[in-house]
Amino acid sequence: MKQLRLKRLYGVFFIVLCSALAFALVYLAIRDNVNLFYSPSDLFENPPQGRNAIRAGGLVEIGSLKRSTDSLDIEFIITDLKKSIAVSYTGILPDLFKENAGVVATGYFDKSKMSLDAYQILAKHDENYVPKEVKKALEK
Amino acid sequence: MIPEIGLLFLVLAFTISSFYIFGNFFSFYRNNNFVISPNIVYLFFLSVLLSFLCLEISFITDDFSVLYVANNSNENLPVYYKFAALWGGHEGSMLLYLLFLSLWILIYYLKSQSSFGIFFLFVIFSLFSGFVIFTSNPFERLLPFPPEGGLDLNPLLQDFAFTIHPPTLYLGYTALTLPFAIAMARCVDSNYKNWASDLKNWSVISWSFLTLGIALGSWWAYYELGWGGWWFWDPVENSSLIPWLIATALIHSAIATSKRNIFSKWTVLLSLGAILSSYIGLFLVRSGVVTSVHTFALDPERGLILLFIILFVLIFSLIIYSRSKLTDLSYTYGSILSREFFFLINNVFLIILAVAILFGTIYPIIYEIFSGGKDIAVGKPYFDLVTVPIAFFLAFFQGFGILSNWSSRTTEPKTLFVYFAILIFLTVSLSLLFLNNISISITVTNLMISSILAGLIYYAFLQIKNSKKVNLSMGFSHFGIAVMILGIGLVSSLESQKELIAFKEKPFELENYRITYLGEEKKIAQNFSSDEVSFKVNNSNKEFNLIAEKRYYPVSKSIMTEAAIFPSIKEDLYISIGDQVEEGWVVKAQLKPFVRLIWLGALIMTFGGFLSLFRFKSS
Repeated sequence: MKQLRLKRLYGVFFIVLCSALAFALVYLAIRDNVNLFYSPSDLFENPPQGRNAIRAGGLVEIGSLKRSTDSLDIEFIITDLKKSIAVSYTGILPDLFKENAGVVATGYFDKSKMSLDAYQILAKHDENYVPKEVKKALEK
Repeated sequence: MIPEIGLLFLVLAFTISSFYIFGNFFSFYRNNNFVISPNIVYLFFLSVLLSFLCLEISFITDDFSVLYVANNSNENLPVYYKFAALWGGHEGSMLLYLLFLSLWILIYYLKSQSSFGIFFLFVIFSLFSGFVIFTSNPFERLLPFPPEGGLDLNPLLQDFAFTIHPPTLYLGYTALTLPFAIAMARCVDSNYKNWASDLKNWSVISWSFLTLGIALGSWWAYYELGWGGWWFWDPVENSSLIPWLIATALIHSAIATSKRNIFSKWTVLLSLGAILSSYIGLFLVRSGVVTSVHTFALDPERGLILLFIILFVLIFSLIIYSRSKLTDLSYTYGSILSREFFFLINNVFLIILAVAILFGTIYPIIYEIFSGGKDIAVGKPYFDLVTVPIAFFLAFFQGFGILSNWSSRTTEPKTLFVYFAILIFLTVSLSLLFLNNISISITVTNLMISSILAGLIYYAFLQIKNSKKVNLSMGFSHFGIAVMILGIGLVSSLESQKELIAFKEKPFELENYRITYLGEEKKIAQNFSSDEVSFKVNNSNKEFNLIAEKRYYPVSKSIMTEAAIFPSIKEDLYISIGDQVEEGWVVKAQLKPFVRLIWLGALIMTFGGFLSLFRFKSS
């Protein structure tokens, strides 16, 4: 009986240990990998603290898209119709990226230049769809 | 007329299942055998099938007076896409879900293990058919002024994989209902003798379809989305992966229950967890609470009702569970080298992994609630960081787990030594094979697959030596995992890419490929026009042309890129195009070494799963 209890204890101990380790892992991983969403107005009022990448979204301002002719560098401006910020990006733009359409850019924000150095641009695969966060930012 | 008939049949099926439930609810604990006539079950299945066919007829005949058809189809769509467009949106895909659920109910009935099982299956069917009829009626009409043409099927969905990926996945999701129903049946009926092996077999059916469905989705996303990725940690992908992980744990737990009469309470709870996790996935995708690439027409009211269904199933099952008299033999894990203990390890790690992924998926919702409406996203690095270590332990312990014996027979320490010898030999030889680009991630990959392979090889050797049967289904499933891990490890550590503007007569190089942009040609297809951009590719010994496309779909006014892919087992050359810039095209060229092993591994796993069913039939 004693031995049975001991063996059961091993099992319980193993589960508790694994769960604790997993908990620590999840905590550390989530701390550094949360990307807060900002509208351009948010970025002016309350710029992001810390080193994490952020997501910024709004409409692509008409006529703001500039493309380098000899590299893949792209610049454009996103706006929530009150404030706007510059976004720079290198690479292929998604198919549904359009001026005056909703877009969400993920990257690092430079407060001194009020610009976002983006590593990912998301535009939704649906003509009628505006990203949820962008919709909220525009309605504010 | 046909859409109304379709709705009528759906209501009929709902009525049959609801009547069965209410008719038998009060005789629940008194009467052990409530019967249902076979004709009723046939009628039930037939009415769901006819309802499904009625919607198909509306699609094929372009009946745009039906709102759902008008939203998801178009007269210029090729006919096979019209057929598949049925599951292109929320309402129709739910009808497909009901069709498969009723199919499983019919099959379960014909193998008729327990009338209580049928009862619980009908409870689930009633909930979801009620949900469809009252909130998501696919037969709703746009009268009296039907539109001239349909809004078209989302161009992303106009692809071969769309005809098979959702049905396969839904077969898997719906089959998860059976382990749940069987577990509940066991809770109320202690005479249900072989419930654990029934439950295991149905979990394997569900698991096999889920494996295939998820792999098809990954393969599709890889070639269709044009980014060259095979997994994005999108909420929708996660909501298929979580039930898969729980189903994997469930299979093992159910094996332990059927063979050793242990973990039986855990098996019951896991089957509840599996089905609930699939409903949570359904809720996340259909309510629009998280942002995802899979967009459905979003409706918060539906989300609320799904949430209610989840809560109902949870509370209802927990009440039944708490009143059950399940007894385990005793919680002995035997020695630490016993199979019981390895099954415990398997379950603990799989469930931790599932919970960690679920947490990352719903964290944005939790955060939004507690921060007063701030939006966040949890990035891919979170999921990579959490998954890799847990997956490592899962793979590492898997090898010896395969070798271990139930605690009734002792595992000799010698086995452990031989196992580690094979493991080290395999790891070293694999590392030598990839000596040119050895890195930490490749070494970890090698260690993971060597653990699994060492277990499998030594297991097969021991079984044959002792002239015992080799469990091929188990062997293939675990071998498939090793192949998949190899693919994931190699493509993640060896892939390379180049982004540039490609001009005519100005070839560029990627590793040992020389790629030249040749020119483009305009093409008109049935329902889109496209620019076909062709490239000439020179490799050391071969030369070939590849064509990437920019498609324009006039009905939905959307643009789609079709990447140019040259596939092979060793590596894929993957060229996607961006915009046209002056005389050139923005091009992203990628090399994906061994990426095909990921899906090959999944196919082998699926094969292993189905193999066990043949054995189950013959026995």
